[in-house]
Amino acid sequence: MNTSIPFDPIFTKNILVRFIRDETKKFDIDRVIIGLSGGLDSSVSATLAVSALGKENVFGFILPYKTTSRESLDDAQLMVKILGIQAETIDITPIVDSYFKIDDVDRVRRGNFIARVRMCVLFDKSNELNALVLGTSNKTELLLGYGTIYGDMASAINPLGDLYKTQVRVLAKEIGIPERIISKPPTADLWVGQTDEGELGITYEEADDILYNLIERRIPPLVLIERGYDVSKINKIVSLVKKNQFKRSLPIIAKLTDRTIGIDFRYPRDWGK
Amino acid sequence: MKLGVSLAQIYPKLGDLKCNIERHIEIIEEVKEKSQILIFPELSLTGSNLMDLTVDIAQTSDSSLLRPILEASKYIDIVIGLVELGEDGNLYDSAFYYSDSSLKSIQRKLFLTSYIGRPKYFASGNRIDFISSRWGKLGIVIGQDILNPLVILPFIRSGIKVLIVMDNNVSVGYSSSGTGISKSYVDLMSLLTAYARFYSFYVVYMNRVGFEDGINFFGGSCVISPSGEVLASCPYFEESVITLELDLETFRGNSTFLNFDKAFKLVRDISYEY
Repeated sequence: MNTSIPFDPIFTKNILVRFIRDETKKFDIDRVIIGLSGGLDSSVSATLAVSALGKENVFGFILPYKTTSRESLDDAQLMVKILGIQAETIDITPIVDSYFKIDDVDRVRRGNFIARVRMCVLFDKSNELNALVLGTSNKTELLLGYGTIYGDMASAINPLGDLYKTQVRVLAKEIGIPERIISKPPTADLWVGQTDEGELGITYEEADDILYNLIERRIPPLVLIERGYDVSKINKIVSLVKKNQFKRSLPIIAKLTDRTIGIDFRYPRDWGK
Repeated sequence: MKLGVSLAQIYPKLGDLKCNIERHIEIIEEVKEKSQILIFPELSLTGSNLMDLTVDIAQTSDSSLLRPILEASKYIDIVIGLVELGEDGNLYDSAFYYSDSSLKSIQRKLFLTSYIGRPKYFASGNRIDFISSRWGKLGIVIGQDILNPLVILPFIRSGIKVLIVMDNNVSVGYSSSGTGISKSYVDLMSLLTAYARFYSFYVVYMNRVGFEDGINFFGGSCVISPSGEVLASCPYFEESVITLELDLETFRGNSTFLNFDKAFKLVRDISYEY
């Protein structure tokens, strides 16, 4: 069974462009910076930001490591050209390699480190340019925990966090992202040959269909299995969503007083804005 | 009889009472010569996603901070939304109706939604009041109270002329219309249009705009006539003040399906055990 997920790209673009404009200007900032990987999500985020703030207020950073594919770099450059934004390429290989010293390191460890070095660079540039870091994590990645906490999951504002990957694809078409970026296999590109779907063991179409039924429609896993969904895929997704809840939370605090931050001391981020 | 009504679709600063009161006064000054009632959205003085600010910025009905609005009601009737600190010590999501330099009516939200943790802060109101104005009876409903059909029943029965719906409608869901409008708004408009059309009153729908911690409020405030026609509306997403004149003579008589005595009896007699 495959449920089609309702989606309205025009409504979504309306909201997201205004979200970026409002949630930056409220903090007296009218610029954003974004790490461009050449992939779908960062291309969509950057395009929305240009619609919201104008191309002169969006800064792209291309942050390759030595294993980053040529194709990723070309596609990132293509987006810079299409959007007409200012961009800088910073090779992070010396930073990463000076820490690990040897090449024979667990690839997940190194992958996470690469993602966090990129975060460090972006947040440093954020300070230098007085610009907010724009996030690129979509809802599928956030739910499945397919990202590095304090790495690519870190940002100041994230326009894509309530959109499933397959919805990002539809939105990408609506806002004119080149077909080759939309249709290429999604990859974190943290090591040679890595693809999201290869690593997750499930396609985004399948994952989004299951997540949509579990999360939006609140259909229990057992009911989905009864309706013919693959048991192992359901179990895998349920366990990933649960296991990665920590990546979607702030660090927890041991409660000692009546007004513990995050528990009984709760203020909106847009306080007074 | 004609009634000049102004709708102030604003973007309140979250938790900044002083700034929001100033904005209210500015708008009052702007419309007081050309209108008889000025309506603001739910929680217009405070914003919506208040969390602990709910406690910090609550005001009693006689608060001196509200005096400028009270005094301005010498010129024009004013409906505002705020966090009310009740005489019982509870906090309410309330609408204040000011007229002739006095606070004429308070309507408290009756049913609290679990959305963004509001029940933790607010108590629920327990009465529905009419406002007897010089233009006839008016009613105020706050937010999702409008979704409970029994809430508007007393208004229908007493033949109100204008139902004011003060809202903080969050843009949620994808409508199948493909017109770029949120499902939450499309669904609500269908309901309000049906109410106006079948129960023969004007609906003044008053929403806000802006974002609070990523939550969007859609705007689209409007006036729907007793024939179900949208007479005027504020734009989506943008702050806007509109003024229009309602012709209160254009009422049709109530239909036979509004025989309440019979309906009450049937509802009372029905067996709810199946």
